[in-house]
Amino acid sequence: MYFCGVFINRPKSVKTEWLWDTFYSVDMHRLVAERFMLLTEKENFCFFVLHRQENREALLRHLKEMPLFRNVKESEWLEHQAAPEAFLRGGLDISFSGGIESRLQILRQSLLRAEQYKACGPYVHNLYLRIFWLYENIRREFDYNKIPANPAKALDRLIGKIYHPDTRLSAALVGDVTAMYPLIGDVFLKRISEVRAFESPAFPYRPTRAVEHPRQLKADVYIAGKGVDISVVVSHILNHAQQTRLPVLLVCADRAWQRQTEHESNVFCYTVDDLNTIVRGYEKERALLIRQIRKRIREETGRFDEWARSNRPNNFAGIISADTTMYRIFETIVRVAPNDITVLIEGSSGTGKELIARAIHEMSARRDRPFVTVNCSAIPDTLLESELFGHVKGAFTGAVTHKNGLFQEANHGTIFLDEIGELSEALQVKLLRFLQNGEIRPVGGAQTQFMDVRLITATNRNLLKRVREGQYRGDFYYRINVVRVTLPDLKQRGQDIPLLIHHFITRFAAKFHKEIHGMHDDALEILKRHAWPGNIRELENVIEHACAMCIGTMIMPEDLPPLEDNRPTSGMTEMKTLKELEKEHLLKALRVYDNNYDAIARVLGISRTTLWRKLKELNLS
Amino acid sequence: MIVLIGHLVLSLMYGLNAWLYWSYFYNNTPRLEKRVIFWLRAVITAHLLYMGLFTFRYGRIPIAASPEALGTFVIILAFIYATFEYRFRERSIGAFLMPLFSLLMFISAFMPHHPGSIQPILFDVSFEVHVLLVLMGYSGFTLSFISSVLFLILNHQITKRKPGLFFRRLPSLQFFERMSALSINGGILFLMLGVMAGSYFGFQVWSRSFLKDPKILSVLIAWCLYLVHFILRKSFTISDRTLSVLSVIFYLFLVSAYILGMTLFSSIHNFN
Repeated sequence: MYFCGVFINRPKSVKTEWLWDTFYSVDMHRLVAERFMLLTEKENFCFFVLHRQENREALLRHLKEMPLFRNVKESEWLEHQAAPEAFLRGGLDISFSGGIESRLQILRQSLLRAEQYKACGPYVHNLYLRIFWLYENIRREFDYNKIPANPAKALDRLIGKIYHPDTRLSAALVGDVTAMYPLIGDVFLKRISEVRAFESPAFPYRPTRAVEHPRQLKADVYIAGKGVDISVVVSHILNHAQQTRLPVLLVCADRAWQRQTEHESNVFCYTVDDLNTIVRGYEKERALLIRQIRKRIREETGRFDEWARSNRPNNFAGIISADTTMYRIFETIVRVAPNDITVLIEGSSGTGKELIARAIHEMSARRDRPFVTVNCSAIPDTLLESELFGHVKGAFTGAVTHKNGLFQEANHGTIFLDEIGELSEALQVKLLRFLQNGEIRPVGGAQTQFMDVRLITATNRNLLKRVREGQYRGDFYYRINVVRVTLPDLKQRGQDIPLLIHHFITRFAAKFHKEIHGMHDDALEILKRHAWPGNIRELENVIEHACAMCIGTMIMPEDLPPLEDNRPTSGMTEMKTLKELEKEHLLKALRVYDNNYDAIARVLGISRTTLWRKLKELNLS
Repeated sequence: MIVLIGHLVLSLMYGLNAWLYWSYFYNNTPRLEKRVIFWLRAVITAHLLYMGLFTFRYGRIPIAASPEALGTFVIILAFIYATFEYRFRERSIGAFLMPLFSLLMFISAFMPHHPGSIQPILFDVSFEVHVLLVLMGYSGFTLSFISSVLFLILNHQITKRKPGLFFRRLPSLQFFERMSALSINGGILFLMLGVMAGSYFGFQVWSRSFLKDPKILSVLIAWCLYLVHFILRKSFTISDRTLSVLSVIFYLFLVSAYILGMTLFSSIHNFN
């Protein structure tokens, strides 16, 4: 694969939709495997993944015909490693005055749009995931929020320099402050608890209390616009400032206000220009942060390059997939992994819950610490407590020595509790204590121990349903369910089946010392048709069987073990009558909608009367 | 010799820590933050070890002479500051305290001192309690002074609308005001307890005559001034800026009166 990209000027007065359409609707699949356009403030970054380097010239010729690329010089193109680096840099642009979070939102929108056009694949997704992973790490490591990027953030910072974060502030709007809404929106949502307004239009961010006279304007932060008598309002503000201990902040539209408050020591008066001075004041910090982030980006580009060279584009931390649902799950993983959040993984048996847990651990700061896996259903309940928390000498018959539990073993690392739905209520309570206070107590021990362990749990049961039925503790469920990842069944990931087959063939061919290059189309068709109730684990076993049985370099249909085909057979003798099908379908609907006739009639697209008649006909009422 | 070497080494360590704190204050990088955390702990541990060694060697805690009392004052203040830093995760004040610690340790290292020939009366527990309480009171006032100075610097930068280094690094004005108030409250309480313990000890040694001593009088006046500060803060609507100015003035009075009392007037309150 060959990467290239270019920054193009964003044409003025052009709608975003037109840009998307122009970029994605042109057919270039012959040359390009993936393409992506990131819309930024002034320019757009266009990224291409080419099937081979030789396609580059043809692509450039092709693009020259497009209005978007007409003025792009050849020297402006970024080649190979420089292109992914520019992609990462574009997504994590700290110098962007809208703030890094706004840029990430734009990035997400851009990706969703590229997915709609089916223009992006594993390479673009991988870069996208790397951006979010870097963002989460940078967010934890560098306090970049302290560096204001625009006047609105500077105002937030200024308020933070005057008032303590826990102080509840009141604000007053004076005159027409509509022009200052972009400046004060964020601050009002975050810090202001009460707003009074004098001769101001309706304020969209908070409910306001209109006052009739400026003397009623008693607040910590004043936002002053146009259309009021400045001297009258200022005299009341100064009067109020003399009666308070906390300083008063006045943010005003022009310097006329400033001149009138110049000599009052307890009033800080700022205009938008002054807020811009604050933004400029942080240039050194911003430059330093940009340098540090760029260093990270260069390192990450190196890792991306390494990954791209490995020629396993659909392998994300050992998980094979090119499915959009799985990409969303990967995004959740990269976002939660660096933060110590408890994760609950749901999914049928064999969907790869442990792989997800391991990926979270590997992407967290705990990656060099232990990862301990416990299958809660495999250990008898009576032993599980001792296994998890350890025991002291003499705690029970046979406890001849002190023994550390798996929690102690996983200290500073991650513990993965599989089949958490099988946990007894007593153990749920003990784990709840750990989740609340981080403390455990060994069996028979008198002292609690504090453990720094990240908990990841998994289940193949519907825990919420069990909670509702009173079979599972609600408080425990809500504690473990901070972030939930629901894995789809293999059948729902149809396009992943060939990828997984290829992956397993490579693995088992090496294991059995065979030279197997692939699978015959007929065999592949059989596997695609199968329902895979045992999910990936079942597929893995089938491929292992096939590899063991394979003679030659291709897996043939006869190498596969017998599989239960879930597709309707073509034999007429086995075909059901319409009445039978109708009955079956109605029974299913009754079961799914819990005999709710209104819902069933609506779903089946028939009237309630027809439904009632059919049920009677089929003896189902 | 033990005091000279110990105080010089500690002065050097506090100096290094001051340099790290200033680097962190200027550059604000996570790597420097980790270093200042480590070095603050290291220097406090070293100082405590020195005190332990001194106590083991002379059979008393090091507070019976001016250089010893200065060293103990530094460790008390360093410990209070470390607790505060751990609690509030705010490290900017260290940049102003560490140079002070280094300076005090350096000065105390060269003060004439004979730890082996101390008056037997200074081994008394009530004397030790008195000195420790008074040092804690002074620590409170010192913290209040630093907080108030930083309040005024930050206030100046916000008023002039010039966001300099102090604007970018320091926490809020209200934070300094709260810290100053808390330190003054603690200072008033501990100094009062210290004076009470000292009075008990003084009556035993000098009868009533010690009350006319200029140093004791200056401390009592300073305590009254801080009490006035406390009452003003609690009872009247005075701006935080004015309170900070008062706090700075009162601390300067306390220090200058102490130095004048030690140099110009003869005092019986001098560890001899």
